[in-house]
Amino acid sequence: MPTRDSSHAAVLTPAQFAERFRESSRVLWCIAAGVLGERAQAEDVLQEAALTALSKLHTFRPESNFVAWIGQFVRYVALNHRRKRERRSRALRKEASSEPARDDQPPAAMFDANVRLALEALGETARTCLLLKTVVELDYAEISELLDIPVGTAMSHVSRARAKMQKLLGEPQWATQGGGSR
Amino acid sequence: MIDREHEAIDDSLRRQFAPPSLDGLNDRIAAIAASMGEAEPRDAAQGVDPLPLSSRATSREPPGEDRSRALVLVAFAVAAALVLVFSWPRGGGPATQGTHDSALAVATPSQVAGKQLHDFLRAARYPSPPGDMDCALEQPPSPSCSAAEGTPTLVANLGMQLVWECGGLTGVSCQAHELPAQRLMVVQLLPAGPDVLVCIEPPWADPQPELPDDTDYRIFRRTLGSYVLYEVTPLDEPRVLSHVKI
Repeated sequence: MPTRDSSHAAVLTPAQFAERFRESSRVLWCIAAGVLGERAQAEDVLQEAALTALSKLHTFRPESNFVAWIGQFVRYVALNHRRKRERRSRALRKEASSEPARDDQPPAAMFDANVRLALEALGETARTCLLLKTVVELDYAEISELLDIPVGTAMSHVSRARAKMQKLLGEPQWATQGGGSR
Repeated sequence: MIDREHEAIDDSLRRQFAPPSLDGLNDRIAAIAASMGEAEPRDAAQGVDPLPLSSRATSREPPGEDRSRALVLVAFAVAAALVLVFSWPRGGGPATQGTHDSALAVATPSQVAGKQLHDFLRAARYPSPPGDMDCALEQPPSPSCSAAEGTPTLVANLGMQLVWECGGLTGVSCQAHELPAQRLMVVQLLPAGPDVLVCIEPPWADPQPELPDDTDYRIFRRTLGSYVLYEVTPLDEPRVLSHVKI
């Protein structure tokens, strides 16, 4: 076991933490949005996670990946937000998630709305992998490191997520005018 | 055709999930970090700084070319702190508040960690624990245990991971009890008895917690394989430690 001095020595000052946080905040926001399944609250989650991580600076190891380290805080805070939200509105959400967007919206808006619903139908990890790959264009090795999952698993999550979304969007009740014809 | 459909989905995701400008958030965090940095000269005293001096100087200096920006940052920091104080403990009770108070006010990491554990156990009350929520380690990990009201918040704020929460986000296999190299925590929920907290950590993460002087709890420690385990309990003897198998 390391001595107290070495195990407690902060390897990041708060100012250095802030700099690194600034550099990685877009990726972290994507992780939050992926776990939440929506944009709303992602920034709140990020702030909560950052403050929690700041109070835990002594647990950061210099040889470890900063984004992966703080990503853990982001995921857990986001998961907690999501659970709270689900508990609060379980009945309403159930209704909404089973009901594709109405066709009185413009095609593109309707397609986007259905994509959101299809995304919601994925698991948190799959959703997060997909957003990290698609939106911030991380490669699979980076996703693997960030989420602490094997590279193959990250690839499989993305592939299956796309297939599942495509399948959902192709079902008759989800049929949209904005999808395949775009 | 399939590629085209994937592309349509990807385009839609990019449209809808493009990160917003996070400048405001980044500035708030920088301001809070700056205030913490001033309050904690310990790092400099220990001479621990893995970054080059040039980057340290850059990051420690406020943006001198714009004094008003610094004032705005301070205002943001105060506002953020107020928001936290008034909004955070909604579901979790005072332990979450204690986490941040103590992070700023208590001198050593051991005392901070000890106070967090103390506050966690004292404040952790599960409004309606189901009857099957005796989450002892020897039982198979059960996702139902993680449904305890308040637990996820507290766990997140302690920076630990519920050991029985497996699969999905956690990266923990539900089949094998392999412990990943990260901090884990087990709360044994006893409907008719006291709550007992067990932390499992790799030695590098062990904060060697020191409970506050006025605590009613005790800490029992055990080294198992390459992990350090400690049980925080109101009882006179550990109840879970001896059952842990790695």
